[in-house]
Amino acid sequence: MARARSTSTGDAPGARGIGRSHIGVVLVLGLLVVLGLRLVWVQGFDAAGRAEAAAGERSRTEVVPALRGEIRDTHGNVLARTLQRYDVTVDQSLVREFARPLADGTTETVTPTQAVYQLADALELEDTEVKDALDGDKQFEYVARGVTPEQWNTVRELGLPYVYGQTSSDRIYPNGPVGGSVVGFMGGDDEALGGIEQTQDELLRGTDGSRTFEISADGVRIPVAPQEESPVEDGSSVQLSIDSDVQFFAQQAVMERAEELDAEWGTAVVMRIEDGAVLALADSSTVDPNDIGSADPEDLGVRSVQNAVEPGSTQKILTAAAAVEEGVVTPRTEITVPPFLEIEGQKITDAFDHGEQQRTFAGIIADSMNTGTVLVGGKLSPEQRHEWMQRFGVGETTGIELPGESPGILTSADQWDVRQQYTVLFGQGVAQTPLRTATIFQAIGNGGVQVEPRVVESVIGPDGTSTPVERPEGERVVSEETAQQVLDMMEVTVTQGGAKEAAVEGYRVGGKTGTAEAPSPEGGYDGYTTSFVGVAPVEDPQYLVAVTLQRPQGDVRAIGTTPTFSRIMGQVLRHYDVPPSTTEPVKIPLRTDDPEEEDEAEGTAPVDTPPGVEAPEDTDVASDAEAGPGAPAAGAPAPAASRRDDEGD
Amino acid sequence: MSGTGLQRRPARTAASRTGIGAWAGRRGQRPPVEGTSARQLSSPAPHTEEPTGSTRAPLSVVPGRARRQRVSTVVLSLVALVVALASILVLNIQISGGQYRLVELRAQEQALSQQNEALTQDLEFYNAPQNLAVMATDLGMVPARDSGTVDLTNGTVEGDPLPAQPQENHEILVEHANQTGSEAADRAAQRAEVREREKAEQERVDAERRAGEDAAPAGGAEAGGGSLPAPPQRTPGE
Repeated sequence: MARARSTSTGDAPGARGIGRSHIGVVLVLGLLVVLGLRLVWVQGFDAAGRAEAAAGERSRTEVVPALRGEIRDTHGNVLARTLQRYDVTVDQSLVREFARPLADGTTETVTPTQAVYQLADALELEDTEVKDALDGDKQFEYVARGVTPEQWNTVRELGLPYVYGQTSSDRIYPNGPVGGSVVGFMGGDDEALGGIEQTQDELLRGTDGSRTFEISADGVRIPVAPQEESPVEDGSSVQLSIDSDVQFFAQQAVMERAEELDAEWGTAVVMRIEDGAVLALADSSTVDPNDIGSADPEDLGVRSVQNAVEPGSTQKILTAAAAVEEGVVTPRTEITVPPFLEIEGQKITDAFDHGEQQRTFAGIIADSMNTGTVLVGGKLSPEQRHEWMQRFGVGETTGIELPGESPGILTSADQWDVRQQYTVLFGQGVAQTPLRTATIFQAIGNGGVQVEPRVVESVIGPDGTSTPVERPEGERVVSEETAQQVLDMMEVTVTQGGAKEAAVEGYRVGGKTGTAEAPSPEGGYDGYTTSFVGVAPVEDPQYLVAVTLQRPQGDVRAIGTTPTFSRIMGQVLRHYDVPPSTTEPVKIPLRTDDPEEEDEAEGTAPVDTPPGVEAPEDTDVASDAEAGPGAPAAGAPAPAASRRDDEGD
Repeated sequence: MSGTGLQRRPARTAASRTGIGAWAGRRGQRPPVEGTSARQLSSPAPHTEEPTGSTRAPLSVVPGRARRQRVSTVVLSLVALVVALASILVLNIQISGGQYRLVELRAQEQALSQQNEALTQDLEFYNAPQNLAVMATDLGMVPARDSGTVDLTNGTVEGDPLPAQPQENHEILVEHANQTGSEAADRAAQRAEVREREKAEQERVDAERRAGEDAAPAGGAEAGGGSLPAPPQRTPGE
């Protein structure tokens, strides 16, 4: 270049041309250097940071919430489902007048007051509520939570620049109070608080995922940009053995009876005998999981699982099974029953007055005689009695998939007081849940094999594959022969004994009534716990119904649960298309001394002799003697104490 | 463009002009084209002239064909470039257009699934056992109590079936689900409210009528009618 310059100094126009190109070249070079430096700076010194900043501006990460699984009944009807909802929020600091563009290209001015009215209309809220939410200078405040997509769309169309929507979800329970406490409910902060929702939370919940992607300036996703995704794992669904129709019917029947008798509460358990599957757990009053705020705290749990009560005479079935299995007695064994029993200074009476009677053991059970039961059961040692109760699961939880199950109260045999060792034979001085009582009858109906009850039938994965939940192994408690003999006595109780109202037209039914005094929270006893547990059809027991009423008001002879049992059992048998019984019921003579008197006794004796007569002198003493399992050794047993127990009707 | 090709050309043209049928008439002579491929000619291809030793070939002007070819290559590449760019542009527009369409479809999908959700919610509400029972009662249906069974082996009816009797005060005690965001639930809540009001009204009317009945005979001792004097009645509050 230098040469070119020197050779052409004289040539003026040429020099000008060369000079121009020289300046141009220098300029270009200078630019190149600047660009080069910039390149070095951007690429060499701060490459990662800048790329990150740029990507950060474009990329968005959002959490993909896992969809909570459904809870279904045995037929697949949905009991709990998660729906998409929106939370409407506001940035209060931005609330001011704004211009809303209209479809025809013009704009209209919207004042905050107008916005309040429009929002209130869209959300179906009070104007003042919306106004309160918009007033202030907080940058985040909820206007409404859990609004439907439809409502949110209306809000969005208002175009309020300071109102936002964030997706949320809402758990809805289509059946509401039908099985509400079994299905359970969720708290406001998405925490499972009751029922299956709580115990199966881990399965139902799933795992949240996240998604990172890049968006363009107008908010549309850039299709070719890299994206990261951690996959969301939706929760599994849980299928229960609960049958909504049976659950509803049982609930309606129990509610009617509890209302009629002004009972504190009532429960019904419906169970399939073969595998211990629970078909209904009805309560007389139940939470609506959609609206737990207005629920009575008492209604939140399943009472037949959470409440232990003294079972009363239904426990005579356990005593009978133990005595038959131990070879002490058979249903036809003749026993002389005295008007009352004095044993170790304890007076045991029956619910009805009678002279000395020659009865079969079946006759003792059928008319629910405490005296005869103690005569037979007394042949077992207290340790044996305790062991037999343990073998039937008394004092232990069943392990059903519901929260707060009570194990009941079974004190060890050496802690029983002198009276309690006999009263446990007819279900006083021991407490268990109505569900546990049901499992004792389940074992008898199932040929002596007890299967612990379960309410979860299968788990359905997010991909739709259904996995049956493993059921507990059945455990043989008594021999098949023993179970059959006890079943015969249960049938005689319904056909010839004191529980004729439990009969179901067309089917052979067996069962046992129970009436126990209910321990008062203030100590002693007040009111009764009445119950009936039965199975059908007796020739091949398939279903079990257990009805319990706590503190029904009225005459002790008319506060039983047999009619309710009959209604529910009838409905269950028809619902599951069980063919009517074609065989004749078993017949065992109840009395062997005077058959004519037997008819009278079975028909009228329990009714004609109100146990209430004994009540004034009875209750206090009984309370002292049997302050209940909570205080088994409290107080000296009163010799004259007599127990009112069971009612035939 | 070899000699073979040149030689065959007329034949092919003939074939294409006259069609294969023209060859069929001239038996024994095979057509130059069989099927889709040309048959191999039996006569040897005419070879090119042999070089004539050191004889210098006369110089001649090369026709400007090569030049024309270069120009067309540039044009061709330019065209190819433009086409390539244009197709990339079109593709990009397509992709981003597709992205907008995707967003639109997603929104549509969401709207539809939300609509589906709302309808399912209503359906399941109607399907709940207590709501079915209430609706059945409103239609005047009564629960059957005594049902019979048909024995298919001999065609007899077992049991003692009776027509269902309407019951008094058959009320569905189990309440409906208290849901938000379901029109079905809102309607059910309204109906329940109406029913509650009617019940209260009915009770009030009944109470008034009873009070009236109690008061009426007290007012007239002739209420019994006939020749026998009506039995004396106590007036309430006496």
